Amino acid sequence: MKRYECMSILGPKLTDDILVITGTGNTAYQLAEYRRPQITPHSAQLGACSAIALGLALALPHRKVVSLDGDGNLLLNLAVLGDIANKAPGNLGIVVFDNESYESAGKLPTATAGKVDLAAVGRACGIANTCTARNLEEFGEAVERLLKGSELAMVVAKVDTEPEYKRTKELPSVPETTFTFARHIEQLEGRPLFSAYYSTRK
Amino acid sequence: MKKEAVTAIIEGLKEAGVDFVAYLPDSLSSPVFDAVRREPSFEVVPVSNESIGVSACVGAWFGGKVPVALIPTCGLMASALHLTTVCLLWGVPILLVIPYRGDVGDAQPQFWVYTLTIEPVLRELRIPYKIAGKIEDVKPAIKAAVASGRSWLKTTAVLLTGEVLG
Repeated sequence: MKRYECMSILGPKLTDDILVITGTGNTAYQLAEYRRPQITPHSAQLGACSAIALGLALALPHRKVVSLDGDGNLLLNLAVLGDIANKAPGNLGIVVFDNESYESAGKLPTATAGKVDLAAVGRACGIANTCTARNLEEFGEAVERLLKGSELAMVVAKVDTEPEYKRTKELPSVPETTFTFARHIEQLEGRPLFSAYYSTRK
Repeated sequence: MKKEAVTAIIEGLKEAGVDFVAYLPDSLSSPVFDAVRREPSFEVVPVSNESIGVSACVGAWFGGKVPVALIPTCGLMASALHLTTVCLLWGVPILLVIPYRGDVGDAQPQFWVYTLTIEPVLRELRIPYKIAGKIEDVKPAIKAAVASGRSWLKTTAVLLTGEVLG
């Protein structure tokens, strides 16, 4: 199973009203084939992706938030799974594309190429609604449950590396996405969330 | 930490509009965390690593919250990756409130290294900061840091020292 095959299933389901955070690597490029990249913050560096999603999910508890994380990304800050489990936002879903590799950094193996089982870690941290998908059928069913459910959920998708994948989309610059994503949320929420100027002086 | 200092911190955060608090406790500030957990206007997120707190605050800011990360002195270094690659790169303003352990006058031997490192690290991370050494300085410092940070889209910090830490 390849990540871009998974994305062909997940991407069309990630409608604009769902807030998505992506980590480093090709995930954001592959998602951009199905969703405007201006509304998806990308390149959340190692360990940040699901933590950002946690804060967003808690801030907007009525809105679905999905973290598209990776094994190398998540492993750097594995404790985030415990912190997420303890808050247990029912509107948060975590999809971990686990290719057992730092693919964009020379394909060296991550710890999941050895003994680490991220789904088992997730369950042990307290994310009971955690599963592993090893083929596209399992993945499709798992993300359907994740998107439609009202409980914190995590899907670990065991994917192969994909040296054949060629990026076809460009992503906007990271700072630009901050603004476009923020304005997208304001539009969804129908209220201003970000004031340009907060003065302490009269 | 004296009760008056705890009150000043909590009131400063509330008056600044803060409504989202991620924290990892330290020994001196523990009364602050008790007070934070009791404050109903705060969404409170205990974290296991300061960088998780920083990134959770970033997500909360996108959700319209006014976030603060209350982190130990050493936590500034532990969260430097996300302060750089998320807060600075993305241009997201969060507030850091950090006890200035190792400041001159805090004579415990295990903390002196912070007197050499914490302010240079803040400057290198391009985080403007204020130092509150008196209890009366706490509220104005927090309010100013939040207001400026949100205006500039820059993460800002308040260092607590002197009589604030007691």
